Amino acid sequence: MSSSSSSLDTLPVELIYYIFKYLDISTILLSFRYVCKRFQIIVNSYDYYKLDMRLISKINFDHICSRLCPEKIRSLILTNSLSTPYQIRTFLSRFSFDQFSYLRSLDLIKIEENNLLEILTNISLHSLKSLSIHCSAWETYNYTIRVLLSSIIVKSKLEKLHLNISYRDLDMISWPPLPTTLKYLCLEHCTFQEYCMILRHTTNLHKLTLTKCLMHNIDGSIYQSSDEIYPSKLTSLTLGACFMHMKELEIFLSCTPKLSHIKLIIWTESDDSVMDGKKWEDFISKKLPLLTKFEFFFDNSIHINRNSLNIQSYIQSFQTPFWLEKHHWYVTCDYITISSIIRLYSLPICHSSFIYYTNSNKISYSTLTPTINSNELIHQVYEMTLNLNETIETNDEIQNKQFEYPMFRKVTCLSLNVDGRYPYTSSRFLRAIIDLSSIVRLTIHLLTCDFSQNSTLRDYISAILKDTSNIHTLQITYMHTEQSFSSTQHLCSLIPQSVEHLKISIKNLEEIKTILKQLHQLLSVTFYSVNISNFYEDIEKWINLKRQNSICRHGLCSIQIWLGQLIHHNNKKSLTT
Amino acid sequence: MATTAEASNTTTGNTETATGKMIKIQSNDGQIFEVDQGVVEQSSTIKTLSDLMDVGDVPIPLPNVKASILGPIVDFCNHHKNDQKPEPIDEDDDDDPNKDIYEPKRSDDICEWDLNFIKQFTVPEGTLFDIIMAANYLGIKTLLAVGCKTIANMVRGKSSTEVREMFNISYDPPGEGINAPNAIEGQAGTVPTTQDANATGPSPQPDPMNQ
Repeated sequence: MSSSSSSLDTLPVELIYYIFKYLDISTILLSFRYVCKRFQIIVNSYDYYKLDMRLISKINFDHICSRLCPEKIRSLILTNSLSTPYQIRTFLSRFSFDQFSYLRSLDLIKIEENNLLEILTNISLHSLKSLSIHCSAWETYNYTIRVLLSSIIVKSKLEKLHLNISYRDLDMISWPPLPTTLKYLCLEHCTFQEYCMILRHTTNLHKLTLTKCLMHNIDGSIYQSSDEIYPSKLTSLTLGACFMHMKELEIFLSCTPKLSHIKLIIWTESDDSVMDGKKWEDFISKKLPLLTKFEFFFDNSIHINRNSLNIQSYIQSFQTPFWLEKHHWYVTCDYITISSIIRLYSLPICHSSFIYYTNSNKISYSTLTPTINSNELIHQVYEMTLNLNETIETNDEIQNKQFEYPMFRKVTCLSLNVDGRYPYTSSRFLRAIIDLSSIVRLTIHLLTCDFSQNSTLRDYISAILKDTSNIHTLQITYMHTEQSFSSTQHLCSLIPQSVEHLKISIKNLEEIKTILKQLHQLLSVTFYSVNISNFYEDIEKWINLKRQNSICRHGLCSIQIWLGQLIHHNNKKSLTT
Repeated sequence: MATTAEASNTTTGNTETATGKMIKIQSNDGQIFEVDQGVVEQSSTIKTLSDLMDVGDVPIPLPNVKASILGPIVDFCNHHKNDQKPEPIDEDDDDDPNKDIYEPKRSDDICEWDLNFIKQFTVPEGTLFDIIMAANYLGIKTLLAVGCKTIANMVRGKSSTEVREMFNISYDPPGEGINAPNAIEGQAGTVPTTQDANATGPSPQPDPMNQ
């Protein structure tokens, strides 16, 4: 291919802006801006910033706050997570929210009550299209805030609303409590009666997600719906973690004949017809003719004696031409022997948080035949927990098969339990299940006292940490003994450079100092200890000497530190990490 | 004199009858490519031109794209012509209920085929920028996104010095541009669309990511 004279610095400005769509604000404001004069002018004139403050370093947070123009921000995400304690409070100490006059999208995660009040009082509504608020405990928030939130929502022209709150909590002052402009709504839960109200009044709604759904009214009665078909445009419905019977689901889903996508994460009883493919086939054929995507994960809620169970019979009704030929909808049924429960789910697995059992702990039947390429089924599982001692299986199917891709390619959050007993699950087995290079959050629970003395375990943990080379957040908890200081030193030597956010159990201040002295790359750290309140003051004093402008927050048996700039005392010069 | 290139294996033979009318497009250096409706649909520019002009057998001229870039673009569109069309969504839309609320949204997701495709275009040869500009000119959003994501992935987390080295961009000399003694703060609304050596830059400041 012949070469040309084109280069990055001669690209038209509209294409540089297009590249900005895929860049974080730290790179744009703190690096790209300083490349050359032209880029500086382009960055200064850009007015479509998406400010995502999740996992940001305190140093970059301070730099960005000192440089950004609020009226150029279109999207803002603030969070008080463990990695960025008191971030929202700190942000509000520098900006008044009425300055963000062109904000289209706002996400507030783990916001405190007084900060939410301040934002709701000052927020500009004229351009706001998307609002997402995630609070730890809405029920503790006072009535004034909930009334204010409710009044703001109803006055807005929101198209997307995501709240971990119930419909009833929202229905405070006005009725209906939702704007008709809404296209996407996610709420914690509502009753069937409230569901009908939502459908009746939010006539532009396309997607509805209810993380819980309660069919019953407060008095225990069930709302009797009329046969009215709602003028609803709803095409996608997701119900998560609900307890429901087929009879209730039929009433519920009959209201929305235009659905093309349903996702149901449901607890039910094993003898309920929700597990019956024939029942679903009849219902979908009659009531949901436009359905093209049907995802479900049904867990039964009672223990079943294996002797009284014909597990294969659960999948038989899903083997008709309707399921296999018309829709290509495949299912798997697992009987988990250790807990005596049944789960029936569509493939690919749609449950974001999945507990993986190996074949010795389950009896499994699937309508997916070996002739169908299972590698094309990319499971939608993002979180997984494994017990590395229990999952070892020499004759497990997965041990003997060489898959082209790992079974669960989308897992980004992995939790591992290791009890110190040898042998451990082989790394080959782990790689066959999960793409370890995709993991960004790793939690390791070491249920052992002698980590520093156990070289086999150390080598094993070291190998896992090498394979998970892209983790940015690592949580390690282990049992502390007199030798725990030595264990801490060993652990620190194993932690890869990619880890910027660490959550770790400690026993004393010396361990804290060791960790922070060895791991300069850290942006945040959370220390856990049952007696940590005894040395809060000492920790904060020491942090203030070592890391300028750090922010500390006390938690339950923990201290969370958003680490500021590293101070080098030797040359009296401060450097950024 | 124009020469006719075979756009790709999939544009000839049986595919013609399956996808209907074939259209000819011509690069600025005279090479002609024959493409089917599946390719045309992906390019708003070619689609508009073919709708406006009753082109018949006359090739549509594309004066801003040379053959060495247009050929791979046709390959790209042929590969993607059977892709499921994404729902028209708002660019701020991020409503996956499975998403981890603590995890920033990744924007570097490029599928394996596209990654291998874009590797043939490089920074030193300037062809990576040619393909981006051609995708923009032809209105092929998916290709434009792949190109821009590739650049974004190269730049993300790098210091300004590293970006300069990576893209061979010369730093403004002492006393000029970014280092001008009397440089003023950025001028919104006066962004040049091409490089202007005489433009006034903002006052010099340290790059925090260089430290």
